[in-house]
Amino acid sequence: MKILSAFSVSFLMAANLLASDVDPNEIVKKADLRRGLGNTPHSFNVTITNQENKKEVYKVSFKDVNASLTEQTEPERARGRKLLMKDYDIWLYTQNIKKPLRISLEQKLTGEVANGDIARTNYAEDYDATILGVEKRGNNEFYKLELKAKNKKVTYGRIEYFVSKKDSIPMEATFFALSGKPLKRAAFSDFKPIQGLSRSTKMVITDYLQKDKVNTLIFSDHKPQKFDESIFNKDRLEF
Amino acid sequence: MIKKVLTTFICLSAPAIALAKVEYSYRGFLSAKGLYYTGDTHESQGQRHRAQFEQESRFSSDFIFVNQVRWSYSSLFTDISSTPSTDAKDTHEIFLGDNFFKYKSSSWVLQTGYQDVAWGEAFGFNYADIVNPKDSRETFYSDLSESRLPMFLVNFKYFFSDGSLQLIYSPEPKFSKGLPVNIYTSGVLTQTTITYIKEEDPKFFDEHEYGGKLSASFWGLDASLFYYTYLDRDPAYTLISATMSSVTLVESHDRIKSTGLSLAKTLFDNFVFRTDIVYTQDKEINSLTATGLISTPVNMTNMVVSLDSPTFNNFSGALVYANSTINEDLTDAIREKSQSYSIAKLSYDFGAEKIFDLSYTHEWSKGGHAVQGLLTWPINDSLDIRLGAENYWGKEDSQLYKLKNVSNVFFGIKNYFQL
Repeated sequence: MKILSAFSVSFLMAANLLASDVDPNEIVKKADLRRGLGNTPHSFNVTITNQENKKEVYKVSFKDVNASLTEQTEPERARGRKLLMKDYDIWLYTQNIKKPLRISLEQKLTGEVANGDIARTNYAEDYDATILGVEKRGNNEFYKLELKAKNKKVTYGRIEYFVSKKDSIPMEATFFALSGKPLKRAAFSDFKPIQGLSRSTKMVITDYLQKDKVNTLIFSDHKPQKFDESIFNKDRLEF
Repeated sequence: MIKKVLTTFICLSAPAIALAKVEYSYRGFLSAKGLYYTGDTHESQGQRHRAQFEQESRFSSDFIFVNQVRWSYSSLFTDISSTPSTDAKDTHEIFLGDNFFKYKSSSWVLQTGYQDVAWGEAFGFNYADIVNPKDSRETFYSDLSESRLPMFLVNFKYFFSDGSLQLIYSPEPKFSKGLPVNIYTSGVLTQTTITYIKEEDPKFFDEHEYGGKLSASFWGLDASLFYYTYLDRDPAYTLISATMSSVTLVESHDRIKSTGLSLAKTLFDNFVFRTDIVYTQDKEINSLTATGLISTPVNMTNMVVSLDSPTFNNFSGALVYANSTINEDLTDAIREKSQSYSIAKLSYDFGAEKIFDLSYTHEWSKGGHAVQGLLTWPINDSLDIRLGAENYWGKEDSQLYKLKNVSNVFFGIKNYFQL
């Protein structure tokens, strides 16, 4: 009886949703603005701490969805490591090699925290959204969205994304590879006022299969910034 | 030497120290490595220790001074030949690492001082990496940042949409450092002591080197064309005297010119193809004739192609093919007209930068082989340990067999610090 009643509520919610003119891509766009400054030129820092308490610090220069530069500043062994993502191209620079090195598109997905998790935080630009339904958690209702990759340059093949119905605050996401394999889960929290809007500054990523692999990303120092075009030139990485 | 390094270090860092409102940062590393030689060596144990200290003075985000001093102690040069060598001695070296000032504008960069300039796209055989001399005593498994020797360069780079033009000039050429000649001759001249007289690095402004590189990226392809005129980093030898028990050789480094093309292209999203093709003019090659040891200028073509594989279950790999060909026919040359090598490399990523690398190198023309394994294991944010082994073998006249006494197992530890 309980199952039937829950099914009826979900069905009614979905029917209600279909009847309304809710644009899922607009929901994702609003949710993006709760996690960063959107698709405008800006910079920010990311501090990642893993389950062994090892810390990495990155500085990100984000021009738009087609160009971003990530520079690692900690730990010392990795200082100066840079990753430039530009359209479908990715280059890596390290202090050891001392030249920009073209790497494959899949490298955006490498590591427990993907390069895309750091530098490609605008889902609205990278994915097409559809609403799968509405779920009630506690006193709040959340859209359950399915985000499908628009092209191969994005980080994940698919994302299941929960966004608050009331104020477009993102709550959690599950990321899937292009093959459909679930990779990891992320929870968004620590909303703080940044540039006039309450935005998430913390993302906790848990590996889907190895639950003990947990990385905490703290985003800080968001600043709108105009960049010289040349900083996104791969030949400038060594300077 | 120490006096020269200190004087240059102070002179190059003085403007930074003298001016106020400068942000300073200090960092460096200490590393220690113990080796056990597994070949037919006179001594079986070796050590390499290094230290590097760097001061960065940041006047603004666009104007930066970097001053670096390096120290190294090595017993590698001591004696890894089968017989005792005359040049056997431990080496302590203090030398300038990166020591330059850098000014960046929106469309160009000028970097002047001691620095590295790395050209080329491929790995395994760095034929296009022609600007800096190398410490070739380091063999294959050394960090390029450690084996590359910084040299004084005026390095100007102009950026345009998806490309750049780089012009470099050096008033102070430097030569590579090689393994003792005894390593290569131990199988032939077992009872002979070989002495060689080194050519000193030229003094400032006695010689000039210059060249440039034009780079562009389009259609998922990185392409660059380069040219450099310079003194050969490796020596040619002239025989001065020879008896049954001793041979004396003198080194010379003649002017050569290299022109090259480098390409890198992503294929099917997850493969990366790389190639370097370098044509070098007037390179002196030694020949052993009836009249003695002579050297002849030749033109050479060096080419390397490689393919990086995608990652599968944390495994990734690369295949490399390299060829070096003397364009002229040279009878009695001490190296073959054409040398070809293939490398197969496999890496396993344990996560958190813990990596195991395994590679096999095959020398096609003479049947030489090399296997190298390396485990890199960061212990914490500032400490890495490295455990590895390299083994060279094959037919006696192969190039890789000549390195058999370099075969070793090693353990290393490296500590990074920031003040």
